[in-house]
Amino acid sequence: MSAWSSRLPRGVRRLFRLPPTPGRALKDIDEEIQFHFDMRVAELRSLGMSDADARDEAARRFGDSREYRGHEARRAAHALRWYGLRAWAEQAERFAGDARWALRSLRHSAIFSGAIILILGLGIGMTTAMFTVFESVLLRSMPIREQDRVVELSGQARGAATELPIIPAQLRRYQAETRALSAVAAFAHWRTIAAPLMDGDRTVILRQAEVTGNFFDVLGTRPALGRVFHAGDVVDFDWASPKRTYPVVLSFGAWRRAFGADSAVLGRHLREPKLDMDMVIVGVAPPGLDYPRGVEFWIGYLYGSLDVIGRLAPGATVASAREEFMGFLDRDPDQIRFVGSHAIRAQVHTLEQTVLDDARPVLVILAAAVGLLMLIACTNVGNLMLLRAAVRTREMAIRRAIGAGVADLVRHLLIECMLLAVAAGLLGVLCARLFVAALVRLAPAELPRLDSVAVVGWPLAIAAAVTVLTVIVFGLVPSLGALRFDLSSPLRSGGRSGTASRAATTLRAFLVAGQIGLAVIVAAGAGLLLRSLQRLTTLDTGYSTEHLSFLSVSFPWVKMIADCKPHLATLTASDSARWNRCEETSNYDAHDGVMARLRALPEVVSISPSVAPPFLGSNVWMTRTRTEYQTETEAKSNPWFGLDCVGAEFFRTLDMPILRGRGFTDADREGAARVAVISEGVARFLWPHQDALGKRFHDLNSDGVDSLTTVVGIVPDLHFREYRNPTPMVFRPYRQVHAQGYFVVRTRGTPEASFAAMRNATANAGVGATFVNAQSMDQLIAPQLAAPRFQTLLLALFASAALLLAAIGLYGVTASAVNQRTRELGIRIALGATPRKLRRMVLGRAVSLAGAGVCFGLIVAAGASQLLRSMLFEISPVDPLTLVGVAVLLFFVALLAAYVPARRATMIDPSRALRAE
Amino acid sequence: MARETNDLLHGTLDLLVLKTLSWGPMHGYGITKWIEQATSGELEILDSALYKALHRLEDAGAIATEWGLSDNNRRAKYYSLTARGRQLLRAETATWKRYVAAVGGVIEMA
Repeated sequence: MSAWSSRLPRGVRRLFRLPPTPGRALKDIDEEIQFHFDMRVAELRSLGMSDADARDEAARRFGDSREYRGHEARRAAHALRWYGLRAWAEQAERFAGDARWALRSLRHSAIFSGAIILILGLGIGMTTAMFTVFESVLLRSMPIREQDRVVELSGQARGAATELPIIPAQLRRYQAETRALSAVAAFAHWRTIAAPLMDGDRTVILRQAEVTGNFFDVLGTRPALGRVFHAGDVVDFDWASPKRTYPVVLSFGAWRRAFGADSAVLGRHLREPKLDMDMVIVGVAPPGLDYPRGVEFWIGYLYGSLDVIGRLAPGATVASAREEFMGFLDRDPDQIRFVGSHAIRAQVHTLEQTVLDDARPVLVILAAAVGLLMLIACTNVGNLMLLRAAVRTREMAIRRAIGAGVADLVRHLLIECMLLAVAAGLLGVLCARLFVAALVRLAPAELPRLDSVAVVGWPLAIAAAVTVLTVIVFGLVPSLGALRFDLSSPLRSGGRSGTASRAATTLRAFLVAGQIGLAVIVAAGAGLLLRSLQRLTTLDTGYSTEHLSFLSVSFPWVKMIADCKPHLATLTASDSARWNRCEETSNYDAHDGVMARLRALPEVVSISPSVAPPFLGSNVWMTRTRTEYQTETEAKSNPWFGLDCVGAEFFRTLDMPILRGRGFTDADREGAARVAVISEGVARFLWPHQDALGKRFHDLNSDGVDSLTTVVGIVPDLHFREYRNPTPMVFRPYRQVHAQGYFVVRTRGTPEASFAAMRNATANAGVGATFVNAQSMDQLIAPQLAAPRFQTLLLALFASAALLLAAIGLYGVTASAVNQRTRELGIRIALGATPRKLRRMVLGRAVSLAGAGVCFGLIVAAGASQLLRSMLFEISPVDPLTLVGVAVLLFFVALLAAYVPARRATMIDPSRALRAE
Repeated sequence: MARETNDLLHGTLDLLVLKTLSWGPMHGYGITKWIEQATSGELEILDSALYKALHRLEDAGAIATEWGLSDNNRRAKYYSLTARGRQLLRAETATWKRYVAAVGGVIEMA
């Protein structure tokens, strides 16, 4: 006999018919002998014997009690010794018998069993899938050593440009100066940007992040394959020698998606066509390293504006790092000269906060939705089990009466529940795998680290535990209640299939109302997201996105620099300026050459340069302004505005109105008067309650000389830097500021149809330009809508499932109520009740249940939808139209679910109903 | 007079116990009393022998035990017939009848 079973409580031992322990067995034997002896003595004394004689006679009749006791002790020990072999076989046999019985009984009610398995399976599957995503995105830490010691640092300016970059020279000074950080690394201020890469003849578009050589050292990340960068690997990007080879580390996800997880990628060369850069793949990052967010490859070069990360030195805190960085920004001479603005404060966040902040609300909402769904599923299953328990009261009583022990019945029910739970669990695992696969496929880049998602143990364990508990609580407890009944009462009571107790009926009514309430909550969430998505897709961007596209063209910039280079040993400042101007002019002329060719195409309506791709965010390509009469101190509080450098046809190409003044002309070029078109937001801020037209502001020109610029036109704010929000913008003629090979084009037909013609025209422009790629505005907008679309889709799915379950619940309750009242309804019909009246009676109860549920749901939903606030676009979390709509929908579905049984009630044949009893 | 178990064939005692229990669950003392009354005291069996027989039958799966309350509200061990016990009773009864007939025939001949 194994040791564990001797420690089990007696109830369990009895339930599973384990033999008693030797000590227990002897105690039982002694008790039995004592009882026998006492009874015998009492009998003999009643025949008139004296107490002493009676005892002697009883002992004689028993025989040798010591021999008997010894015999019994040996027998008990023997029974235990052989228990392992003999009893296990018996147990297995009994279990098989029980399982057969349970299977038979489940097969008899196939619809019931199927419904339970389906509901629970879907519930477990969805819950597990969601928790799996939750776990890998939010809870599992990134492959970064001591994540909470790695911080992101930035200065903040007033206004739209919240985070200020620093320049490479500042980074080097800060690296030398800092005491709060043990190491400082940096990456490009724009974080990630989509780059077309040539892998042989193939073009892959991957999101690139430019980082310093010590980036991975600061994170403390080891490569999955090859190596990561090391200090000294990476230098500033140098226009004079762009031909050097830049090292690249692929993200794990990009390696799998774009390179088929081929370990031979190490050492492979890629070409970036825009800057004609040569790259070599040196390593693959470990799965789950999603920093900066959305990155698909890290490239080792630095150019322009940087964001800073560092590892806190021992003893340093986030607060001390913030103080030190703020002090540095205040003192540093380059802060004003190059960055152009004082920071009004510094902010320092740990990586944990930064990476998870955006994903958290979405996941919390989805997890809440799944939790609610699981709750509905459990409630529904509970309801079904209660219904079944009511039906089986009679069966239980009969089985008790023909000799089944309580233990037998409990064991049978338990095994039945377990079979259901196991089947549901298996279905659940299957569903979970499908859901996770679908989630990973559908999820937008906004969900970080999905490349490392896999169904893991504990979310499944939680879901399975919840299920088993549900099945047992609702499957066993009501049946146990039935067992406690006086045996004969269910047999006597009139119901054909037994009647549920009043308490059980009330409980089930509560469960159904609760389900409807929960469904209202999920549906309200889905409704709000749907309305928000609808607003997003029909958003007025302030310009026409139809037939608009964005082009990227590469120019031979290296050759332009070389051609303009003065052949002098030493350069004076004026030589240098002349070199600059020569280089700029050839760049602008090359742009004009390409535009002239493209404009000549019959498909093209108009074309203009633009300095950066749309929807890049409001953090990059910004300008700081100082109005003519502002002092430098006053100007400190001016916000940063988006800056675009555009051509004469820009506003025509975007098809947007010029509210006042004029747009640009071809005469607005280098050497001419410096002019600007500003959007209303800029005008309102810089010249409140004044006419901004003709006003002037200071602007740093490319030579670093401060000169006045005149406002010649005013346009509306537009959704160009961000999709969701209009941003105030300053537009300048590109020939007065900068051009870097990006164009907006308006075409006559669909943009895609003319891309091939544009490619040829670019190559034939004779300026050495190459067409890199083009995207229609719809293609550019799609990723902006991907996340809300995904969230809406998921929540809508959950809401449909919740609705369906709630409808099933209400149907079940109403149908069983009609069943139980067959006799009463029959009598009513016999007494002349009209079908209308009967229907109203049955529906009345369903309606009051649904009403209670909907009210409860609306109250909770109104509060809970505040959680959705950050995901909603231009819609209130308590949007009355949505809430009322959801309530009406739920009510309608509830009525529909109750109508079927109500109709059946009117068709009861009174004579049959009465005779059936 | 009480007799030694050996005097009574093992099978006989088992048969008596099974037959007794076919009337319903009983505790050990009840079984002795029932056999005493049914045989009008002709067969008086040592109590320890009866208990040994009960436990032998229990091991064979012919009877089951359960603790319950006696008429005077004391905890007592109740024995009842299992399905296998009922089967055994039928088989043993048939055997016994053939045995009695055979022995009877021999004695009549003498």
